[in-house]
Amino acid sequence: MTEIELEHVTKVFGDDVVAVDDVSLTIEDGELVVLVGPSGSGKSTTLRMIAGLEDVTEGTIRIDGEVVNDVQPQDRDIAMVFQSFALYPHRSVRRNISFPLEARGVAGEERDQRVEEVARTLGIEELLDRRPSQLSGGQQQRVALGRAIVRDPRAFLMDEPLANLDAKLRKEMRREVVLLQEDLGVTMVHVTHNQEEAMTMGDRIAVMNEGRIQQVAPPDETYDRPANRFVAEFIGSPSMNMIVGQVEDGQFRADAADIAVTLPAALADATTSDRVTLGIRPEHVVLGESGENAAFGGEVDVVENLGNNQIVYFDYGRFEFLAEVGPDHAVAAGDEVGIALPADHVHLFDGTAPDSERVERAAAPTQ
Amino acid sequence: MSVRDRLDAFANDPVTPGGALRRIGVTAFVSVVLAVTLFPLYWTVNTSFKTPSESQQLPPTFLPQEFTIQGYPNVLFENNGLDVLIHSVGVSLGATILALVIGVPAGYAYARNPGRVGGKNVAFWILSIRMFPPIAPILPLFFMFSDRGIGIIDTYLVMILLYLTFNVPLTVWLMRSFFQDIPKAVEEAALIDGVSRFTAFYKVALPLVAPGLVATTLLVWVFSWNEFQFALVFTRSNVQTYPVIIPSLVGGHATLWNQIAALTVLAMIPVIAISLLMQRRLIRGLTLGAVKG
Repeated sequence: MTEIELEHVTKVFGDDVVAVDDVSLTIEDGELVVLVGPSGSGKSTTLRMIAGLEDVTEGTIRIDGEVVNDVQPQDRDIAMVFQSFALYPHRSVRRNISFPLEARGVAGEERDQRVEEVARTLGIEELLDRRPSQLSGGQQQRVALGRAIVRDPRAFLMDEPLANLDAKLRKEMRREVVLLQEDLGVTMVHVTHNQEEAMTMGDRIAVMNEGRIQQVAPPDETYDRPANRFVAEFIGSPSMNMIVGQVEDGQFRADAADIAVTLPAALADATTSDRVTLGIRPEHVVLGESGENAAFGGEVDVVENLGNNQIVYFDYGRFEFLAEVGPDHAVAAGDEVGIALPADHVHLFDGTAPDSERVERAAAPTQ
Repeated sequence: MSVRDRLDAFANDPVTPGGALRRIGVTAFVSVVLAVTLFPLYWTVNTSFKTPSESQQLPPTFLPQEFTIQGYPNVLFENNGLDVLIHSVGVSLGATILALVIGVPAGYAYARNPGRVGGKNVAFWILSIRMFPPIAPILPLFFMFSDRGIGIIDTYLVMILLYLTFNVPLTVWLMRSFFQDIPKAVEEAALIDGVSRFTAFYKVALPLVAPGLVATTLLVWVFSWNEFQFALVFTRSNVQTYPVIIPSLVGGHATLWNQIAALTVLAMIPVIAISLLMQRRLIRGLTLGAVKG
C-alpha cells in the first residue's frame, strides 16, 4: 500500500517566487490523481517535490506515513515518466529499461527476464536492441513507461508524458496508461495542462492555479459542481459562459448587457458580494425560447458546425456567450434568438475574481 | 549540414555552366588553402631526410638528393632529442590528466549547480586566468618556485602545475558548456531510477559528453605539448621539453636544419596519432535524439 500525503507544502524559488503555496493533498493507495492547471500553476513543481527533485521549502511530504522531505530521490522508490521521456540516448532500449534494475543490483537472468516481460507487456520486444534516437515518439513513450514499471515502484509520477505526442496517439496512450495503472493497482500522480486528459484519466482531479489547489474532487464533480470560478472556466470545453453582474430582488442583472435572469431563491439569497458572476455551460443553454421562458435575446454572431453538434456564438461586446446545440437545430448567423438558462444548471459565483466561490444550494439539483 | 554532406552535395552538383564555374572557384580556393597548410609539413618531412649539408644548401632541393635517416638518430641521441621527447610526454600526460580530473567535475558543477560553487563570477574569474598573457605571471611565479621559494624549478611538478594554469580554465569552460547541452531530465531520470548523484554523473552525464570530452582532451594535450614560454623559463636540463631544445640547434655558423626537422616530425606524431585515434568519437554526435521536440 502506498499513500502519498502533502501537508501544507510550499515551494519558494529564490527569495520570493512562490511556485507552490500551502498545498495539502492526500493520494490514496492505488488511486490515480491528476494534477491539472495552466502552465505556471505549480503542478509540475508539486510533482517534482514528491519525486525529491526539488526541496520542500515548508510543509511535509509523507510516503506511507514516512516523512520524506530529506530523503533523496533514489531512496524514495518512486518511478517517474518525463515529458521529454528522458531516455538514456547512449543505451539501447534494453539497457534503458534495465537501468533501474542495475541500480538495485538485480543482475543476470532475472534482469533479462523482467526486461523481456515488460517489453512484451508494452509491445516493444522488437525494439529492444535499438537506440532511443531510432524510435518514434510513441515508441519512446513506451520505453519510458517500461523503465518506470520494470521495478514495481511504490508510486508512479507522470510529468505531462503525453504532451509531446500527436493527438491520436495521445488518446491511445491515455487509455493505455489508465489500463496499466488499473492492472498494476499502483498509486499514480499524473500532471497535465489538458483538462480533457484530466477528466478522462483521473479517479480524482486536483485543479491548481497560481500555486494553490482550487478543488480536489472526482472528475464529474469538478464539472458539475466546480468549487470556484477558476475551476468552472478551466474544466470543460468549450468553457463555461461567465457573465458579471449584480443580484437584485432575486434577479441577476448583467453589467455589460441587457440581461436579466431570475434566480432560484436559494442562490439569490446566498450571495454576499456586491458583484457576482453567473455561469452556465454552453451545452445547458437553451436556444429558441420566447416570451417568459427566454432570459434574454441575442443575435447569432457565428455558428461552428462540428458535425455532432453546433457551437453558436453571441457577441455582447464586453463578453462572448456560447451555446452548444444539436446538429439538427436550425440556426444561422444573423438570427435573432431567445436564450433560456435552465435554473438547475445556473452556477453563481460569489464575486468576480477567479477564486470566487461557487454558491452552494441547499440540495444540489444537478446531482 | 555536416562537412560530409556539403562535400557530397558538391560532388553531386550537376554540371551547369554556373555550376562548373563554381566548382572551379571552390577547387582553386581549397587547393590554395591546402597548399599553404600542407607545404610546411611537406618541407619538414623533406628536410628531415637530407644530409646536414644538403639541408643548408641554397637553392634548396625539393626532394632529398641523398636520402638519409641519419638526422633522426643524430638529434635523438647526440642532442638530447630522446630525453626531451620523453619529458614532453611526461609533462603533457600529467598536465592533461590533472586538468581533466580537476576540470571535468568543476565544469559539471558549474553547469548543474553554479550557485553552490560561487556562481557566475567565480566561473568567469576562472576563465579570466586563461586570458592574461603568460609572460605576466612568469616573474612572480619564478621567484615562488625557485630555490628562494619552494625550490621546484626544473621538475615535472613545476611544469605540470604551470600548465594547469591555462588548461584547467579551458577544461572547466568547455566541459561546462558540453554538460549544459545534456537535458537535465536525463540525469533526473537516473536519480529516480535509483542511482546516486555520482553514479548519475559517470553513468549518464559523462558518456553523453564523450565527444566533447575527447575534443577537450585533445586541446589540452596539444596546448601542453607545444608550450614554449613557461618551458623556456622554468626548465634547465632535468625536464626540458622539446620546444625548448629546437632553438638550441640553431648554431652560430651552422643550423642543423635536418635535425630540427627530424625532431619536429617526431613531435608531430603523437598529436596526429591521437587525433586520428579519437576522430571517430569526435564526430559522433551521441546526444542526438536524447530528447524529442
